[in-house]
Amino acid sequence: MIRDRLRYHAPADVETACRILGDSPSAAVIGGGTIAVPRLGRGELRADDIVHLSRAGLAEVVLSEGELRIGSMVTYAGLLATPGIEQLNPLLCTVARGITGGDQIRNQGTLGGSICHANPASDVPTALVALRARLVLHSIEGEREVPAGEFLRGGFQADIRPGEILTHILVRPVDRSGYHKFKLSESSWPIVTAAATLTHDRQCHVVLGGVEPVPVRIDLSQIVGTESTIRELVAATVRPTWSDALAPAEYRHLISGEIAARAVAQLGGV
Amino acid sequence: MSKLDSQDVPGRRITVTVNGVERRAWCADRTLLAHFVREQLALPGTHVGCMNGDCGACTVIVDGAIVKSCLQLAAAADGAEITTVEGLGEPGNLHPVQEAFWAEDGFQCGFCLPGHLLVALKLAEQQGDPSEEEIRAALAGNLCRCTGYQSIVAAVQRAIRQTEGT
Repeated sequence: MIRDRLRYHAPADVETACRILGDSPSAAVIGGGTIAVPRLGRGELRADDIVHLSRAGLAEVVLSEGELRIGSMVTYAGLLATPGIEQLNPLLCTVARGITGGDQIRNQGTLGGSICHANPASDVPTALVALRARLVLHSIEGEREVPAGEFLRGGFQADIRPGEILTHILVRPVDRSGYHKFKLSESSWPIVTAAATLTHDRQCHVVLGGVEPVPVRIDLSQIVGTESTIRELVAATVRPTWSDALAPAEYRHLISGEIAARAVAQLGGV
Repeated sequence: MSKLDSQDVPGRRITVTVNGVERRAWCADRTLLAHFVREQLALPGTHVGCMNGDCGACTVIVDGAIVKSCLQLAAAADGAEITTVEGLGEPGNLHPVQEAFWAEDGFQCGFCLPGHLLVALKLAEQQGDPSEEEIRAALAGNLCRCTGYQSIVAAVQRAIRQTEGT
């Protein structure tokens, strides 16, 4: 159970949510709850006020001018239920289908919550950096847009200022994509993740997660697309700087080339 | 009033429809849905295992979707429709999904059973013909520490067969 004598708020809009955040001596924002609620229980997250975004109108996916605008409360299941999403963004669909924890977590967890938690081992940071997603952050002072690659500052560190709320994730389509994650059991967090993208102007990149504190982007456009070349380039580029309970940094570094090659292979004849 | 909290902490009265019956009860704002169901609503069939969203023993159905009730605050469920394991059947009048688990020995110690039953119920309601691989994928959010997975998969297969045409 949660020890803090917290007060629960489910504001009906983002402005009210930001005002509660600004007025509280210590407030925490909750999205799907799959990360924040257990952290509250363990006392890792302390709060006088909980601002739950469930009723703030952020659970929609909208397509406008070729860009997907994903509300920060869209769950993995909500994303997968969006008509046409498989064609619009197969990479995010692969990630959503493969989230650890079963349909329950897909019904509860959100893409927005995952990127804010900034766990290097998570799927979402890798995918959003690979897609060059932009994040919309709202506060009483207004709105700002941050590229996903800059939003992630370090392991478990995201660029959210006091009083700010992530409201939307903006994603443009890529021509082709591939995603591979490596884990040793069904209920495990990923150890290393890789997302490969090929854009309409033939730029080919792979982004690796779980190897360094933030996802690493590697440009493959100039190299001949043989898997051995990809492995060597990746191994020479990423640095072994992230460890967690599942695997030491050296192990992550060692397998990073292979995981990258598996994601790139899904692009099919680059 | 709950054993877990007195009314001197921030709280509210919420209304939920549980297993078809409207219930109105007080909850502290910090109360997890799992504890609310067990304590305030006196429905202890929902089990609290890991408190981390890993084990799935606390699975309930909220507004048609299976969720892990240890990851949700009860206050967020105000107005929701909830199904717990008590909503399936009772001794002497088991639900077909429960009959299937009984027939296939789909539980050993029984701790994970309420979660498995509700996941099986959702799967059976989908009216499809899932492969064993798809059934195992659907059960990925529920752990059985006795590791009785083969019987559980057999029970879900039987539950799907028994639910067809009902």
